[in-house]
Amino acid sequence: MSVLVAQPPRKPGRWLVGLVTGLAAVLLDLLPLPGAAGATVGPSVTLCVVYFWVVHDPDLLPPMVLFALGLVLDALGGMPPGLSALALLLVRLALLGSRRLLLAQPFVVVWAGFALVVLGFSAVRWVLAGLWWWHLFALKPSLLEALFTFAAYPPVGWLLARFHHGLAPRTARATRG
Amino acid sequence: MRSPGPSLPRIVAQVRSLVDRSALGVLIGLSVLLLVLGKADMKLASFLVERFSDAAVTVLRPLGEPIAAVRQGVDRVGELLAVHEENERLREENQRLLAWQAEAGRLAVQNRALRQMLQIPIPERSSAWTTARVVADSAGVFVRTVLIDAGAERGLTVGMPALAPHGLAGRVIDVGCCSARVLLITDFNSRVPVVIERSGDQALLVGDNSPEPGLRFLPLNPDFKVGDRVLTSGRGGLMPPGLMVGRIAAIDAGGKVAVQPQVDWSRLDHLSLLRFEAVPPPPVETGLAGR
Repeated sequence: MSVLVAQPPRKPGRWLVGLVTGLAAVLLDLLPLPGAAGATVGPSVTLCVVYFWVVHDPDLLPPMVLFALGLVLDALGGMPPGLSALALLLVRLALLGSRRLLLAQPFVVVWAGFALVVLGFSAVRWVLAGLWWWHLFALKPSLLEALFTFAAYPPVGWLLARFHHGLAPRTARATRG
Repeated sequence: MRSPGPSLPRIVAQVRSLVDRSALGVLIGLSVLLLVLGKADMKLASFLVERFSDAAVTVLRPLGEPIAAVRQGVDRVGELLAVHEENERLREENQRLLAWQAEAGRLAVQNRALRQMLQIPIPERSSAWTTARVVADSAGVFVRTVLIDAGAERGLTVGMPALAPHGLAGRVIDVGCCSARVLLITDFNSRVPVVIERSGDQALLVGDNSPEPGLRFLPLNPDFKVGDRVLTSGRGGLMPPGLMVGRIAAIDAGGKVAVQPQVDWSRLDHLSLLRFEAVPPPPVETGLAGR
């Protein structure tokens, strides 16, 4: 696979970066921020982080780390165990073939790709949660959450891009090439 | 001289890709299995989640400190800006409360005397409370629950009512060693027997994940209006009667009634847990218990 040849050698322990940034995003999603509990809908920062790393440097988020992040999100968020893990792993699966294509595009196209991922992610969670609880959930909150998540991507992506550049500039350039 | 055939990095990359793809497939399967097992054996799933929550609370508790500090700081600035108006409001409220206190004292004496005359035993009011901090809320739009940093070690049990400063917020559904999960009254799984204070109409408060839960199983000719207070009725013995729940917010033409909970969801930092001994179920199964 030509795609794989271009990748730099894997450095051991790089996944720790993905794990730490992913856990930070999970905590941001879970901590009781003002206006968060009980009533309102917020963005999924975790999905922003997962999308960024899977597109720009998938080595940082191997499947095992994604699975662990999903389980933490489910366990602490009161969701059925495995639901978020499955949805995050499906995001990685969906992006496996198209990340190279996305990397060569301007930011607006990457952001548009994120819109599709957000919609797919929300749809998978909506269907799985509905099946698990056997309850027809309202669509509006899920769509609102997707909209907020879509809007949150530019600042989260910008922060992660700066971090990624500072972390391993040589590697980042290589993967972008 | 370079040897023909695949280079080492290429082989490594191919092996890596194979391992990643296999791992992805295995973990997707494992996630589905977890979902199925969680549904089939909810006790096992909740046991594992409780243990994990206990461990996570120690991390989440200190992380909540700066958030609470920032919120308190913002509140303090707001209070300073409105200190004069707040002072006037509190004076008026104090006057009203003093009048109510006198009235409550008079009614308590009268109530005790009437109970003695009718030989009704005077109930021992449960006033044991414990307060816990909210360390995490639900991820996503499907559930309305919060994780608190108190568990069995502080005497929490499943079913205990959880109260915010102004009203009922929910009830405990899972208890770990040092953490517990509270199902908020707005969650679609929440059912609370309530009574309308002014009319005495009984109903069931049913959450629907929206900020305003609805009233179901109302009497045929209910006599209430927008603004009436809604309290717990104590029916079923799962909650003590008389806890403030909220006010009727809207009654639409189709008869749907929405209740505005008396809880400020944006400031749900702490919850008070009421140690309430539920009424034991009757010895004979009537088919209505637990509803």
